[in-house]
Amino acid sequence: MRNRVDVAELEAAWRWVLRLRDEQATQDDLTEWLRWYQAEERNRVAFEEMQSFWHECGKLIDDEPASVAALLAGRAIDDRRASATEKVAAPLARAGCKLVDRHCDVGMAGERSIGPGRVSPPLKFGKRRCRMAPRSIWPPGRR
Amino acid sequence: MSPDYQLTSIVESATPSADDARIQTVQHLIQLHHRALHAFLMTRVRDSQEAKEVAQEAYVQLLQLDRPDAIGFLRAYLFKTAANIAINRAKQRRVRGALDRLDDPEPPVDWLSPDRHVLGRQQLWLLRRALFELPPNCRRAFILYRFKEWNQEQIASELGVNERMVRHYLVRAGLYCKLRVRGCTPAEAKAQIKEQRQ
Repeated sequence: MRNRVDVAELEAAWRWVLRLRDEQATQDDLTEWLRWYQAEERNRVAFEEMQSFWHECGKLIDDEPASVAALLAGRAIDDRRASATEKVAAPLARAGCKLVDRHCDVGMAGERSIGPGRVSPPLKFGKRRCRMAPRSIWPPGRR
Repeated sequence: MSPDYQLTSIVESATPSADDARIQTVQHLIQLHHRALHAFLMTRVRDSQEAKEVAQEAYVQLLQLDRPDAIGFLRAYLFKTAANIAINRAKQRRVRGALDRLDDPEPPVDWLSPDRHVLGRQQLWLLRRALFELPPNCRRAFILYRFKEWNQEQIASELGVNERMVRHYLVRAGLYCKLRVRGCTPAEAKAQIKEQRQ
């Protein structure tokens, strides 16, 4: 896939994919495409490859509709930044959760998992308020 | 891709009084154009399975045709019929999709194996990067066309350019993204497209 000929074939195939997708494509278009498609095996392979690419693209909107909206608005989703943030934030958040669990009387509800792209744990506090131990007895257990 | 399975079922579904010569003509036509028809239908339908179903339906309609005409006519009829079936299915799917969304707010279940899932994620990541690397109008044209199902006329009006320019954007965007997904760096992809233009 690194030479000019292949790119030329891919381009021709891609043009055909776009042309045939048009509901206004005429019988002449079809006849012309058929002639091109059946002329050479390379044409057939290129066409099927570009058509497969078309279908692969569809997965982006199925799996990541938000990223399509962001791209349309011209915003990138910066994966490197998100993953770097995640690397730092995740252990800190977990440590925070442990601390809270150990030293505070807090009613927690739900999971505290840290999924990809999240920069903080989705903590959900119950009705009871967090009661930190008084300073005089800090750290707890040394009363 | 062998068309054998179609032949068997079509011959079975034909009426006993069907003309053998016509069946043979149709069989010949299928053998000649099955792969092309499948490839053509893949530009109009959602997946390979649906393309096969549409082709099958078109073959049946071809067999039910009263006119035992020249193969040139039958070929045109076959492709036209298949295109119409695909268009009707797409319309039905759009309506059904809208109703399904109303009925079932649950997200779809992902049945992919973990390795295919990872591979798929990487490809999608590359595609997303590639789209972001495109010039703004080129990116917008491609996204509106592929993901929002706008036609070229609507995109031209939205971007304030003519339809020829929209086609140029779509060709460039598709080719660039394809090269990036296949492993070219941005510089390589741009260079190859530029070389191609010269």
